[in-house]
Amino acid sequence: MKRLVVAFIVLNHGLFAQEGNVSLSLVDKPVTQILNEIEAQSSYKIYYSTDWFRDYKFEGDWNDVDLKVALNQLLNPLDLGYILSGSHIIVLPFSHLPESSANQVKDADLTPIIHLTDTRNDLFPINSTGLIIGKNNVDTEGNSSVAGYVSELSNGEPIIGALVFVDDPFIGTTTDNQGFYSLSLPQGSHTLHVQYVGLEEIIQPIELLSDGDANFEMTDDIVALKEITIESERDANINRVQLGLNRIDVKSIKNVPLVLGEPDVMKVAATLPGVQTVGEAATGYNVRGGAADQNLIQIDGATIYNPAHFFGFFSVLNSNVIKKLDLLKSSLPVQYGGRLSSVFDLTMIEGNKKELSGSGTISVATAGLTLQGPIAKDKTSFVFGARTTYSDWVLNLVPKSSDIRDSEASFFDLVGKIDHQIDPNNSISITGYYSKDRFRLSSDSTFAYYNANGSFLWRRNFNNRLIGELRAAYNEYDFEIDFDENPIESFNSGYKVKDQNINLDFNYFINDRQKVDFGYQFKTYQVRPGSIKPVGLESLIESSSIDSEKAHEHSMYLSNDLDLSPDFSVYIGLRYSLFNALGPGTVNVYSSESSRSNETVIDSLFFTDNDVIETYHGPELRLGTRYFIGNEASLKISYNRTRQYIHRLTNTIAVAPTDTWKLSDAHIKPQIGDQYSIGLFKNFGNKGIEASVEGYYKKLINALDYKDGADLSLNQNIESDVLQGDGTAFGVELFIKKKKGKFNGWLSYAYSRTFLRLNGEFPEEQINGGERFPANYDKPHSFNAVTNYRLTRRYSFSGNLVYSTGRPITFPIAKFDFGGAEKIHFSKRNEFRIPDYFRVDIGFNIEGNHKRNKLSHSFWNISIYNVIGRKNVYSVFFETNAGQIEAKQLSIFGAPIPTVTYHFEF
Amino acid sequence: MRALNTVISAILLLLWAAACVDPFELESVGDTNFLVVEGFLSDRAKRHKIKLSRSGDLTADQFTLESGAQVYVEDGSGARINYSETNPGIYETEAFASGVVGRTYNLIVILSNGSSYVSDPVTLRSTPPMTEIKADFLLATQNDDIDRNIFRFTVDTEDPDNLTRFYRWEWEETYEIQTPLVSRFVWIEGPIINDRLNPTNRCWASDTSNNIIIKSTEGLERDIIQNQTIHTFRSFTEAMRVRYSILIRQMSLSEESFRYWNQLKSFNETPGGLFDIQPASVVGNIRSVDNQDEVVLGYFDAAQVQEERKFYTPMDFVGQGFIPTTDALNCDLDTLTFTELGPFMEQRTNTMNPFEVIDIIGNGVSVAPTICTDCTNRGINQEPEFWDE
Repeated sequence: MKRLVVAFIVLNHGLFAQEGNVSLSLVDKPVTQILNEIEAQSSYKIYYSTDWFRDYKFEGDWNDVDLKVALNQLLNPLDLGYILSGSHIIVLPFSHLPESSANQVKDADLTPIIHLTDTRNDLFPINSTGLIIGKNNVDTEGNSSVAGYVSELSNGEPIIGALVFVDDPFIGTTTDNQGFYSLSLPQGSHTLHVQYVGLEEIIQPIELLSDGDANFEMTDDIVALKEITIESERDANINRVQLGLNRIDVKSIKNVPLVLGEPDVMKVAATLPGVQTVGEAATGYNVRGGAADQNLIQIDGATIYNPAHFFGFFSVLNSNVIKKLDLLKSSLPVQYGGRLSSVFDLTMIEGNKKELSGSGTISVATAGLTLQGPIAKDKTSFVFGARTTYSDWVLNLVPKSSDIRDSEASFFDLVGKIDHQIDPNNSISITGYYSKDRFRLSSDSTFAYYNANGSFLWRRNFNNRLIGELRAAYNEYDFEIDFDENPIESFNSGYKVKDQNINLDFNYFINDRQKVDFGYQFKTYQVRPGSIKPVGLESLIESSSIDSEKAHEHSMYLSNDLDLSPDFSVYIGLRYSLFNALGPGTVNVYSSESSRSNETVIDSLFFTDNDVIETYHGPELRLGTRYFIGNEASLKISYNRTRQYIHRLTNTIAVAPTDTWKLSDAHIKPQIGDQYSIGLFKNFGNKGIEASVEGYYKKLINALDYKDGADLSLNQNIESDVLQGDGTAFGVELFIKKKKGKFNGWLSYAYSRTFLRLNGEFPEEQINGGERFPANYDKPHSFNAVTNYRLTRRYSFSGNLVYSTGRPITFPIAKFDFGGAEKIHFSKRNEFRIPDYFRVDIGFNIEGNHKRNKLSHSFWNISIYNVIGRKNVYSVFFETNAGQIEAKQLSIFGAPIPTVTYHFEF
Repeated sequence: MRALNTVISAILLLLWAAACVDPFELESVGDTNFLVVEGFLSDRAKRHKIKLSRSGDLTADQFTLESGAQVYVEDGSGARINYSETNPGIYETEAFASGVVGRTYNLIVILSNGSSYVSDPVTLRSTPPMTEIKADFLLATQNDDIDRNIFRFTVDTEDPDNLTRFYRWEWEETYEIQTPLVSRFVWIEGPIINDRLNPTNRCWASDTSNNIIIKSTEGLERDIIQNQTIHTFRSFTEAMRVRYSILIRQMSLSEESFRYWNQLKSFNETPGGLFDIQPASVVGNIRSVDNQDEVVLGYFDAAQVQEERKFYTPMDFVGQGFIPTTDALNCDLDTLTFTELGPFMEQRTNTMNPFEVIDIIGNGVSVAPTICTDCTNRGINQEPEFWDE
């Protein structure tokens, strides 16, 4: 990059220093040639961009014509004017001329409006424009702000996380979720860069006069296509204050081989360091030692309670409509709260505002289609996505003799979004989401579950420095069971959790060194924990339901991003949350002499509608710092506290769709997490390599667990089976990513430990005698490699390698004779481990051709999941056969699974 | 709500489509030697039993029995029922004894090494009688596979007071086996035969329940159970060829003992899957007096027992499509002279296919393979006392 020396050139007032006339013939000459001839005849240097010169034919000759008249004659038909500056003539479009100069320059009005930096003729690189930003304003000096949106040229969709910067001095920022950026710069000339992986870099000289706007539209970078990327920003990873943030750009994951061929951003997230699952096809994620319910999974601000289709084989999110996933493992910004461990923040694509387009994916098990386009061109757009399973494809794998061949399983999901730009400063969007899974057993018993979400966003730029967002969301999760195995036990049962919330968010850019965010969030929850009704006349099932739960949660927050020096930045944030568990409801009072159980209820308290049953509140401090070490490395330290008021009740190995969410109440306290983390981030710029080492230590307070053998479904006194205790998690994560070159991908390794201690007052409330024990998801070593090798532009190989320590399990240790048969005695909770997990997947990808304007792009992925066919143990269980105990292991995918996926765009 | 879990398990079967189940190699680690107590006191007047044994590691095929202990049961008033060891590890009441419904009992065990153990107090609960025992022959629904046809025995019961709620059952089956041929003589040596005084052609085989059969009516408006399966067996076995008898015992459980049996069952008998409840050590109601941390396995319980015996013959099921069968044995008779008899029998005695003398025919004898005349390796040739009922 050429370095520009900032210099101030003061104009001579009121006159052309070298007044002169020109004489030349215009016939058949291009504008550039005419300008060159003028330059030769005068003592001026003339600056221009050939982009502005349309193919325009001039006639006649100039015979000793006044220079100013000549320039106006030449330029005005082209909507151009000029500025005289010393011995320079700067040609500019009318729109870029200072107001005072109208379409021609009056000598007397000329003031030192432009800080030219160099007097060479190539000041404005050929083929680019020196964009004038702001208005000529005599009085301003120092810094002004430039702000605007970065979008994709092809569809008008905002680009999130694009890096916008000037490099001398280095001042940069990234675009936010709406593609918006705001940068405060010294007035004068700069070369502004806009970068986003996969798109062609924009290098734009600017002349910053005062506060102003500059919007950018980026185009595909054909060369950059097909590189796997997980973070879009080339330098943001070392620059931002946050640690523990990974960004997955959905466009970049289609090469990753996946089981059943479904591109799945959530599964790719599980290859990042610090993210684990208890086993194959388990959608519960454990992030840095957190339980699966401690992740906030949201799409455009709406919370998804159950992100799994078909028990976790597929994610409920149709990756075609997802633009990117931000995974936040620590340093949670104050805007986020309500879950202890992490945020999976998914952003949907915005509809193409220019033309109708679409994409589709067909795999062995599912098919999905996405359509997007303008409703009102450049103003309003829509996105619609739908996905479904082929009829019972999975069930057809079942052996014919099996009892389940008459069963059915199906799912679908729908998603839609409308974006509307009211005016340059106001935009709104509405997102809706619905998913449904249904299983029918041969007996006609059915099980179904649903997610339903809606959100509304209004975003307003009050000015270049203040942006406000109003967001409202509705989230719901339900399941239903119809059971008719035998007439006297036929029933219908259901569960529902829903919440409504409203958020008011403000971002205030005080100057280029400081930004303040503040806001308020209000959330209401309603839970119908379960009900059961008899079906049919013969059924003896007693109708019953568990008291509904209701609660309000208020949160207020304020944070300050501050650059104390060019190298040292801090983030100071405080979130304060308050939770009210509300009536109506009945609260059991238990004897303090023994463990809670049905028998130790000594009294019941009744609360009427909206009575406050219990209140919990507390501050959540969020702190972070970043210190640059040289140009390409930084050290970051953070602390954050989080509070969680809603908990998933589960004592199965994996997260099940019948697990229910429970609000904190008189007995179940909020979970609280404290995390300290430190990280070193280093980029090797030329090679496109990013590397990081992060360490964390986490304390969990009131983590939930359960008494041995607890039955959680339709349990009237759930608090008598729930235990709360302390957790400790710590670990080190290494991450290396190569984004450029034929061979790209990432390696991640994490050493992480998680322990729980349940040491209640009574023996029933102690697990393992009150000693600390490893949590179910404590997997000390985990290693992931996700790689892609590009043979040519069209063909590439990809491969995954996954290794992790087996998860802890409670093992049988002894046999004994009881009741005429051998029985098993189990070890302490999680005293042993299942065998280590190891898997290799390979894929081969074929791109359609790369012509930029081809009508339809297509893409084939042929992959084999678990190519070595290793039978990874998911769980170990026992059967008594003829009085003898037999141990069995269950593997989910014990053989290589080949799949073909076809993806197309039009 | 247990039915809910049933649905989930059924759905999970779907998942096994892609999954596979294989044997798992177990390794045993650490202390595996724990005291196991099995005791039950009923209202019946009989010699009640307590069994004391030790657990073993997972490869163990037999278990050490705990001998020389002092065992007694104490009721709420302090009255004792003493037990004495009749067989190693088996302790029986010294005389016929019976518990009383509504009374509370504690089991006390003092081992020969002096360490003592006590059970939580248990109350002897009443149990409603079974209202019906039904037996059915069921044709296989899949594939018309006659090997899958079964006999099924079910129980209906009801507690009009809605108090029992938790039930457990045990069964004992006995069936008669008859051989195709009757051997009237025993070969002694050479040509010498004696009258067979102890016939071997009729035997009675028995089996008892070794799985846990429990049911809760929690969540039902009425304390009523219908068609609770107690026992099933495949119809091609020899159980239903002559005459079959089943004794079913019904006992009530307390909520705690139900929880114990249910955990024992779910951690021992249910197949594993993605959404299994995590197994845990199942703690019974017996504790060490000296060492709170000592693991003691087993349970002492007390309840009224309702029992009923039923008899069936193959003809009872013909109406449901059962076709009575016999052994497909080759039981042709061979005849030998008395001089041939000695060498033939001597040669046969130590082979896989020994022979017996059936009868005297003229100057010789008829002989047939032992399996055609002798069922004592499949049952005992002593008619049970109840068989003539």
